[in-house]
Amino acid sequence: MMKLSKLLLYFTAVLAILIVLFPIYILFLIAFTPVKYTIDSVYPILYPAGFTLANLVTAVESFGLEGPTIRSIETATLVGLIAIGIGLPAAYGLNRLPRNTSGILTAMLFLANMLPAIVVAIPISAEFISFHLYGSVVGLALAQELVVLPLTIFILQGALSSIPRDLEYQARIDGAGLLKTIYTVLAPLAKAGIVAAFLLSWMISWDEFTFAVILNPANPTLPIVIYINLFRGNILASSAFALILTIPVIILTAALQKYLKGEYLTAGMGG
Amino acid sequence: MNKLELIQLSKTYGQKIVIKELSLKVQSGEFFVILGPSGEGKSTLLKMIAGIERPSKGNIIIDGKDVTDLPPDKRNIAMVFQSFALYPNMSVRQNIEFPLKMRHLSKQAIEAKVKEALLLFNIEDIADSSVAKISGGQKQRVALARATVREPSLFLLDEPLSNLDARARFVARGELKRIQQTLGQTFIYVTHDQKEAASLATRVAVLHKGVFEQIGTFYELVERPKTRWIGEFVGEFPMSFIPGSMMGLDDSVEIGFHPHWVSEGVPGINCEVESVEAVGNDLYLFCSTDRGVKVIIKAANRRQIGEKTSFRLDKYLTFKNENRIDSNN
Ligand SMILES: Nc1ncnc2c1ncn2[C@@H]1O[C@H](COP(=O)(O)OP(=O)(O)O)[C@@H](O)[C@H]1O
Ligand SMILES: [Mg+2]
Repeated sequence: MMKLSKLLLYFTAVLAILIVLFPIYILFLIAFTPVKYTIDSVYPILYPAGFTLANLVTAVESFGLEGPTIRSIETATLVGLIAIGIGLPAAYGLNRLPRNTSGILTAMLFLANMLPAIVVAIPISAEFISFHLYGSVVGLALAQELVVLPLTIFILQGALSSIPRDLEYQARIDGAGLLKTIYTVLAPLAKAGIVAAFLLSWMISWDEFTFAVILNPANPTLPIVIYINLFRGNILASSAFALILTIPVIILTAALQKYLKGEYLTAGMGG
Repeated sequence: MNKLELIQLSKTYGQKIVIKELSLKVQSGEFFVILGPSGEGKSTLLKMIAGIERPSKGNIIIDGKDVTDLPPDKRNIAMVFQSFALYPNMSVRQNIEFPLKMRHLSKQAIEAKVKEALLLFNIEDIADSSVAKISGGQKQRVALARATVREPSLFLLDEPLSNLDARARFVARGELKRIQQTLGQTFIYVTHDQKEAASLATRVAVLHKGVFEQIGTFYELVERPKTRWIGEFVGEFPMSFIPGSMMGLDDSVEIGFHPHWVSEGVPGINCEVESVEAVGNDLYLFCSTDRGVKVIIKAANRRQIGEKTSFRLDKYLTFKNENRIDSNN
């Protein structure tokens, strides 16, 4: 009995992993297998029949890869930095409010997230045009903060609330002003939460689509370029770009495991 | 000059009044102890002086300057918390350096002062240890070193010994007294521990129901409590109270006395020993009188539980409606 349920458990786990990994497998397959076996074939195969780097070389050479990649990295990094820079004092402030008030405010932060991004993106793009932010990395990063900030603040609230209040009082008494206390005493103690929040922000921005396509159509980020190439039938280029899109996510997710402890996500919720 | 002056200070949390129009003057160089059971608002009061809690009403004056609206970093005070609040990601040395760095002292000045503090508290050997790896007693010294290193104008200490074991507490108590005298600084020291108040304080203020019910030397609190509550709270054992009629007065008054104010074993009030407690070489008897009133008296002879004895009051105080009414002794 015991054995059967255990077996079932393993079976389900393996199945889940396979389902998750299958698209990534296909991605690698298309990227590294000669095209005649995959996209040029009437009956594409599901196993690697050969190995080639030619696909990637062609994709990189014939489609402007550098621009979108750099733009995506810039945007994602900026999004992460802004998220921490604003999120940390915001999380601190929310934690200092009476619980009911801060609960309501945190809930309201997520409200912007509940609206379809496209609904939000259109008025934003109108405003951005008048601020000369339209089509810029900074503008896109600011728009993506709408999605990213509530989550970062939530994580940082959890991380900060695990630090004893006395430490903060002590820092103030020892002569540190409020911002200095937040950045020199609290931030190092909330390091794990901050790293987790940064990586999550980075990854959300990295594959964010709606804001990117509406606000920066002329200077596209990676997900947009993939979309455009798919749309035009350049499956090979799409696969190459998708590969580039996937690799950092895999690496960062692995890094995140270390920092994304359950407590940071739950501590902020504690009644 | 007054080091610290509190004027009509109040603190309420919602409906709850924690500190109620409290006024106080503390002289420069005093070791001033605020004594009270836990939950009476001692920490709240200290935090208001530190600038961490905002008073609901009233003013705080330090060195003649009204600091009520100043943040903690502008008040030039030092504080030692019950938890010691050492920065866990820093070494002992970095902890002590922190307040100096925040005040932008030169590198040489910082180094010299830290060295001096390490010496004063005898912690040179752990200077580069992580504060996570040192003992409770050492943590307490580091916290004190960090508080003293920048020569603040006023020291606030919130039960700084309560996290130590009995032995370390005894050592630290003596050390605190020595440090305060060496520095010649003003200490405001909060505790619920009678022994600390007795051994450290130049003056003790007893906090009860949001006000100082009595301020005086520890000796005065024991010998001349202003209220019945002080009599019961201050001293090794609480005061005992008997109805006035037992001393030939009427029952609208109560007679209060400390255990050491009686002569046990001489004719007077009869009682039966219910339990016995030894403190050092002294024996204290918990007795029940003929009229069923419970009293604590200091024994003159060895007594067993259940034994009958009697005692005479050599000294007593008279209380009416919770307040002491006699003023002669
Ligand atoms: N932030 C707060 N909100 C509401 N009540 C509080 C707060 N801080 C302290 N209190 C209340 O004030 C009273 C005094 O607390 P405290 O100053 O910590 O007492 P003590 O230090 O004498 O033990 C307690 O009853 C406590 O519940
Ligand atoms: Mg307290």
